[in-house]
Amino acid sequence: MTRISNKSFIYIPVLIVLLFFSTSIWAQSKTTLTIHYLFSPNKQKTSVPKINQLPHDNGLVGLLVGINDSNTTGKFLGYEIALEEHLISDENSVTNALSKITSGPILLHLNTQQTKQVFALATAKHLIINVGNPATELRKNICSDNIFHTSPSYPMLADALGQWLVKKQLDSVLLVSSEDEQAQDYLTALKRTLKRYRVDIIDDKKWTFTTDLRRTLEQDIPLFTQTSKDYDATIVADPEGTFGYYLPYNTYYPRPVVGSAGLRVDSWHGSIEQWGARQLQKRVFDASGRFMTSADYTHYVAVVALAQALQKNIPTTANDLVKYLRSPDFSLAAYKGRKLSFRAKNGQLRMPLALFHSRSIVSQSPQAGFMHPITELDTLGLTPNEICQ
Amino acid sequence: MKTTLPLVILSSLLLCSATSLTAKELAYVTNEKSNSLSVIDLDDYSVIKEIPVGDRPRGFIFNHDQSLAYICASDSDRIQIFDIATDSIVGELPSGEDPETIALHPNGKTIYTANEDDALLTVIDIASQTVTTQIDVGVEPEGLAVSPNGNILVVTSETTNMVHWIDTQTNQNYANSLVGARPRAAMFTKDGSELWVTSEIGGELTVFDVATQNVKHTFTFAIRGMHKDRIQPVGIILMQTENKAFVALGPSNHVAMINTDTMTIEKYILVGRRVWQLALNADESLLLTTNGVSSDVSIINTQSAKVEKSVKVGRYPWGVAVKQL
Repeated sequence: MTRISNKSFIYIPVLIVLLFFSTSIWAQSKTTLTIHYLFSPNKQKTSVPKINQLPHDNGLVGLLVGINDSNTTGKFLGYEIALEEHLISDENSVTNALSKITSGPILLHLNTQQTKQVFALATAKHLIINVGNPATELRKNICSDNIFHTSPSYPMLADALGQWLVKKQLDSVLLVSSEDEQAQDYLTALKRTLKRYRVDIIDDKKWTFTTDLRRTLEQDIPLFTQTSKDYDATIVADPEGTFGYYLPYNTYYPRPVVGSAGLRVDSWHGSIEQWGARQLQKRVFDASGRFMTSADYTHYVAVVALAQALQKNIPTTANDLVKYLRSPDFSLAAYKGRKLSFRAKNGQLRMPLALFHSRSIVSQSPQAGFMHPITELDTLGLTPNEICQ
Repeated sequence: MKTTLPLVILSSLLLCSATSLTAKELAYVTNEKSNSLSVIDLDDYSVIKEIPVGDRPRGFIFNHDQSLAYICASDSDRIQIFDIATDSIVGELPSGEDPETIALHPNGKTIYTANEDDALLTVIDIASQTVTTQIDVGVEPEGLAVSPNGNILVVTSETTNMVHWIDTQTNQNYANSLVGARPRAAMFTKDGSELWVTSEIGGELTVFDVATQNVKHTFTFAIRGMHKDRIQPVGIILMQTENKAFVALGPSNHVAMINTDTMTIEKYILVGRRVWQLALNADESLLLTTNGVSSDVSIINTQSAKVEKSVKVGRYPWGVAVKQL
């Protein structure tokens, strides 16, 4: 029985088939945990150039690879994770979808409004994991034992960036942001960070251009980024990616651009190969024909956290799973070189964050020297006294 | 001529005995990112040559008489057979995709390799250069060990967090034990009664009773001034002549020395950055460590437990083994 596979792509359909037909040789009695996945179509603005658009299966690939990995282990221990997808659309509202899910873990990749709706409708029989929304208010004002976040929050992203600025002694910045809700949320988080780390804001500019800059880029951007006082870096807050890419190499002062363009920060990047990540990257690439994104990572981590509970023989009721994920016994190895766990107050996953440009990882925060009494990982994000007061 | 020939033979015999007296030893190190082997002369700790091999070489072992070495060229998807006398690749073994680690059965006829990308363990017959079978194991299989009597093979799987126990007669997986997160390396004690397994992210070293697969002892590590998350046990080696074990502790840049009689950690030895795999020389006076990030090898005196020298090798040294000349 020689089964040396060649390097052919196993695309997602194949992966799905594997998920549902993998036999369990060790299982005496099998436990099945069904994960419900609520997601809304990824509608990107037409102003985002094709090359910067997110893949149509952003996140889902991480979810499927996570389930496949978990079920490989499950084969030996007698458990299996199944997936039920719920596409949220005009025809299928959040209320409608939730009415069909009586219990169990629910993963959310939804906008803030929809996410809050799920939080409000969820009962103690549900375990909710936000796997794709960085909004601050979801962590700041909502604290419930059965709500978790594997997606990093805007304050975490901002702090990761701020620590790097401090390390590089970039002491003054120009802020540029668009006016949409997400950008303003990120901007607020950035200002909080800059104040904490005593980085001067030379100017805070709003991007309001309505003209197409493809032709006048070199004339308009230097003017727009001109300030009376020099700055060390430009920070762009543009999570939707509608204009930030115009800024690198075009600012009035020849300084680095960081934030949503230039040097970016997120939970993952396709260039990460350390801490065994190369193998994970390969599994994702084989499943999808593309590199792993941050959303893929936050989906993956949510699944393997639940799978770890099954590994430890935790009963599959929401209550028991919640207790385990929040217990001091829980820690997760997830290709970051550090143990990951959930913060007690708001269920946010603590993790190192990657700083990268389009082709390579540059750094990882927390940076050395940023101390914390519990774990350095808690130097990123909201502090307990900012949460649910 | 008639008189000189016996003289030549005599003198060469003398030379041979002289070299075996000083027991000149060479350490072979695989360099993951420069696709080469570095060879260190253990007399003067100098790198005497760097030899190009397959892509991303990692696991490295000798055959019984040390005339050949087997190298996991992970990105070339093969195990290369390396001839020590000529410093050249003389053949290949079919390995399955992405072989990372390798172990030789005590009978010298069978090689085992862990296929990290495919959650498989491949059993290879050396003589016929064919794959005997492939065994399903957990995600990202890594550490391999064969019991001294050759009856048991174990493999750890990094993402499944398990030790899989395999009967080498039947090639059947007969037991699975959960361990701390990201198990890395495994080694049997000399008498085969215990199995020692490191867990990188779990930060543990687990000692199993082989007969029952029960956990006998669990070590955790503490280095002053170092956050416990940075102490990540990876490579392990148990001395055959003394009651000592050494554990490489990854990004903490230390190697722990354990007294296996008292089962206590006696010392932490500072080495290069991200210490990975370990090897002893023949008389076990020297311990060699591969330090991935600093691209060097630390040579430790096992008696004084001190580093004698750091030797710069290729990029990302991974595997290491010592050959006696």
